[in-house]
Amino acid sequence: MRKLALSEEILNTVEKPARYVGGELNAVMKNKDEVDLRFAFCFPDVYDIGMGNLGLQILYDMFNRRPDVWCERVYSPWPDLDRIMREKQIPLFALESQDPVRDFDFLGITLQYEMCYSNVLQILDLSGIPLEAAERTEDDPVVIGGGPCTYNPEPIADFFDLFYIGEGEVVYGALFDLYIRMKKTGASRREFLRAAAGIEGIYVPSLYEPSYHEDGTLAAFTPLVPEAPACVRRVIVKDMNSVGYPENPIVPFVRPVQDRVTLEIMRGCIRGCRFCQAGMVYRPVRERDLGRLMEIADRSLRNSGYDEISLSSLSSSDYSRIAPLVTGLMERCSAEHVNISLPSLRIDSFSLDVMSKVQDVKKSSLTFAPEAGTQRLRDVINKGLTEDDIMRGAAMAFHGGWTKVKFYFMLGLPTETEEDRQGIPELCQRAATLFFDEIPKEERRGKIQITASSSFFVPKPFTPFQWARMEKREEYLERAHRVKDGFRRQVNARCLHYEYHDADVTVLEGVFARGDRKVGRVIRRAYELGCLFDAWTERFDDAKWQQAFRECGVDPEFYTLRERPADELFPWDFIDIGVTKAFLRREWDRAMQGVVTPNCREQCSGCGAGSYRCGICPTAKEARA
Amino acid sequence: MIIRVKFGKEGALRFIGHLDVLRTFQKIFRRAGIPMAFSQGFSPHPIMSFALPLGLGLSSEGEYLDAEITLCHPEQSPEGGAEGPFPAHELLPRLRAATSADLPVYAVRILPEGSGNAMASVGRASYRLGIRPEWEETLRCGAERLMARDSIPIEKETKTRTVEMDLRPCLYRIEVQPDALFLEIAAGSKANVKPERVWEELIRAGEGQDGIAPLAVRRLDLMREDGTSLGAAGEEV
Repeated sequence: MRKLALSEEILNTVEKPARYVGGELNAVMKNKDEVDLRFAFCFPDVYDIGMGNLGLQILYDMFNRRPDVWCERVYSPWPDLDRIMREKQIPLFALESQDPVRDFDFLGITLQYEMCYSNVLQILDLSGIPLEAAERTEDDPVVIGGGPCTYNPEPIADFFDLFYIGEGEVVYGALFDLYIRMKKTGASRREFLRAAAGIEGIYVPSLYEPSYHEDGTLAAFTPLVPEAPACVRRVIVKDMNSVGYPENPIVPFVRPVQDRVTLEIMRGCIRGCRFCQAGMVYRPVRERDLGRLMEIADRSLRNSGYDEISLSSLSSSDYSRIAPLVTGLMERCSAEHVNISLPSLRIDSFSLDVMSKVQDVKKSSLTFAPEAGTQRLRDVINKGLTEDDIMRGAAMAFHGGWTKVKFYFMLGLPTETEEDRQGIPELCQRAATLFFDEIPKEERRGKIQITASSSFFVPKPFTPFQWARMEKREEYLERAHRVKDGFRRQVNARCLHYEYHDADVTVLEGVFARGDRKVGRVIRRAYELGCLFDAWTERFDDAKWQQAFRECGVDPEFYTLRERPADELFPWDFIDIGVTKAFLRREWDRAMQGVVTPNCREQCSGCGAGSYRCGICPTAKEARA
Repeated sequence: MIIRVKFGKEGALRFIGHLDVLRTFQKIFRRAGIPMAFSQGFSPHPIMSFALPLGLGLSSEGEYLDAEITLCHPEQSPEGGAEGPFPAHELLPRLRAATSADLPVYAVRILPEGSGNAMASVGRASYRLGIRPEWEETLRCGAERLMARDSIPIEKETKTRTVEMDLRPCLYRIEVQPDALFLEIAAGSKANVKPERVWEELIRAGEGQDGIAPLAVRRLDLMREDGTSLGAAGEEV
C-alpha cells in the first residue's frame, strides 16, 4: 500500500485531508528507481483550485508518457496544514509518491495569475529549497516556471532557475534529454543552466543583467554569457492535431472547481481586444480538427467517467466548425446523461438553441461581456460587440425563456469618461426595458434579473495597452461608487444588481503585471510578513503588502501611475512573442483615435505572429505551398 | 436490475467523505461502461445508494452500495450485440478494472425484485479496533461489566440536541484479543452507535486511563438486524 507523508493524527485534524493523499483515478505511479528524472509539477494554490488546470493535465500526461520521467503533483498546503508542517518540520511532498519535493530533479511551478506569487515562496520554503536561485546548491531541484505570468517573469526572476516561455508541448523533451545527459556526466548546476539557455524558449534569469536609468526605468537588459540569447523566442505548437492530449485525465475524489472533462478546441483568438493579453500572446489561432476533437471527447469521457464536458477556448463561437462539433457532442452525450457546458459562446440563435437543449433555461443565466458602457469606448478597446448585437441576443434569449442575464464590464480603461461609466447602468436598464417591451405580462416566466459586475482594468505586457497608466485605489472606488449610484437612478433599479471587484488587489496586480526585478524583494518581504493565498479575498492583507513596499523602498506608483513613453524599454521586451512592439504601438494609436481593427479572419493586420507560419496566418498557406 | 456491490476503503480513500465516494462510484460505473438507470426530471441522477456512511479516517472491508442498472445501448454493449441486459459476468471484472487500488471492489450480487435496499437493511456493523497489549485487561474487564448490565444509559449528541439512550441493546458482541478489540454493534436507521462511543464506555467501565484512543478503526462488515451479512443477499454473479 502507498505510504502517506502525513500521519493519521494530522490528516484527521486538517480541513479536507483528501487534498494531501493523492491516489486518484488515473494518477500515475512509477518506480522511482527506474526513472532518470523526477519532476514535481506544482500549481501554487490549494488542490481544489489547481486540480483541474488543463495545462497541468497536458504536461502531466506528456511527461509521464516518457518511461525515463516520473511527473508528480504538488499543491499549496492550506494555512492549517502550513502551520503544522512548519511546527513539526515536515517537508513539502508530492502527492503520488508522497516523497519530499526536495529529492526531485525539477520543481515546475505553473504561474496562472500574479496573486499566487507569495504562494510560490511558500512552496519553496516548505520544500526546504532556498528562496533565491542564487542561494541554491547542487542538491536542490532545478526550479522552472511556466504559464501566462511568464510573459513578464521579472518580478519573480530571482526565485527561479529557469522559465519556459511558450507552450509546454514543444521543448520540454529537449530540456529533459539535456538534463539527463548532463546529470550522467556529472555536470554542475551552473553548467546545465548555461546549456539550457541555448534551447529555444528557455530563459535563464541569472544569465542576464538589467541596468536602470536614474528615473528607475530600464536602460538595458544584457546577456552575460554567449549561450544566453538577447531575445527569448516564445515556442508554440504549430499543428494542434499532432500533439498529445490528456485522454486519461486525473479524476479527483473530492469535488474540484473544474469537475468535468475539458476539451480544448483551439488556441489563440481572432478578436484582438486591446486589453486582452491572452488574445495577443497565444496568436496565431490554431484549431484542432473536428474528428480529433470527437475522438478526444469520447476517450476522455470513457476514461474518466465524468458526467460533464466543457469546451475550452478564448472564444468558442469563433471555432470554424462549432455547429457540427456541438451537435456531434450532443448526440454522443445525451444517451449517457453527460452534460455539455458551453462557456464563451456568443449569444445568437444557434447558441441559444443549443443551450436550451443542454441547460435548464429557468435556472441558467446568459452572459454578455460588453466590457465598456458606450460604443465609443468599446471601439477604443476593439471589442467587436455592438449594442445591436447585445439587444438582439437579449431579445432572443428573453423569448427563449431566459430571465437571468449577466453583464461583465471593466472600469478604468484608457480614455474612460463619466459618460462611459454611466453607460453601464444605462445599458443594463435598456436590456430590462427590452424585456418588458418584448415579453407580454402573461408570458413572463419569472422576474427579470440583470447582474452587472465590473473589474478594474489592469494593463498587461504584450497588449496595446501596455503603455497605459492605472489609477489610485481611491479613484477606482470613487468610480465604482458613481456607477453604483447610476444603477440606483434607473427606472427598473430593483431588477438590476451591480457588484465590483476589490481595488487593493487590482493595484497590486498592476505592480506585478508590469514590474521589474526590483519588485522581487517586496514579494519576499511580504511573504516573510505573512502574506499567503493573496488570491483569496478573505486572506488578502493589503496593509502587509504596503509595509513590504515601504520597507524595501519600492514605490508601487512608479509601476501603476505612469503612462509610459512610446520608446520606453520594458522589462519583458527581451521576450519575442511573435507579435511585434511596433504592431502593439500601432494598435495603441488606433485606440486613441477610436478606430477598430478587423479580426484575423476578416483581414490580416500584420501583427507579426505570421512569423510562426501556422494556424490562421496567411503565411501558413505559403509555408504549406 | 438492481445490483449490490461490496467494496472496501483503504489508504487515501479513508479520508474521502461519503458523498465524494458516491460521486466516485458514479464515475467508476461510467468508466466500466456499465449503464446506470437514472431518476426522472430535468437533472436526472444515477440511482445509487449506500448502506451506511463510514466515518472519515476509518478503513473498511465491508461497504455496500446498491445500484440500478439498465439495458445497454447497442453501442455500449460489451458483446457488440443489440440492446439487451448487461452481461452479469462482466460486472465484477469491469468494476475492478475501473476502480483504484484504495477502493477495492470485492463482489457483485444481483438482488431479487422487491428486496429492501441496502440502507434500510442495515441493523448491525462489525469493527476491529487496534489496541496496545497493556490495554487488554482494561478492555476485558470493561467488556465483562458492560455485558453483565441490563441497561447502559448514555447521552448521545445529535446535530441539534443531546438525547438519552440505552447502549446495552446496541451491543451484540465484544471480543478482546491481545492486539485488537472486535465489536458487533447496532447500526442503521433504527439504532446507531459509533465504535468510538462504545470504546469510551469500555474504557470507563474498565477504569482505564481517560483519553486513550484506539490505534486504527476498521469496519469489517455490515449486517441485517438478524446478523446475516448484507453481502449474502441476492445471487452472486
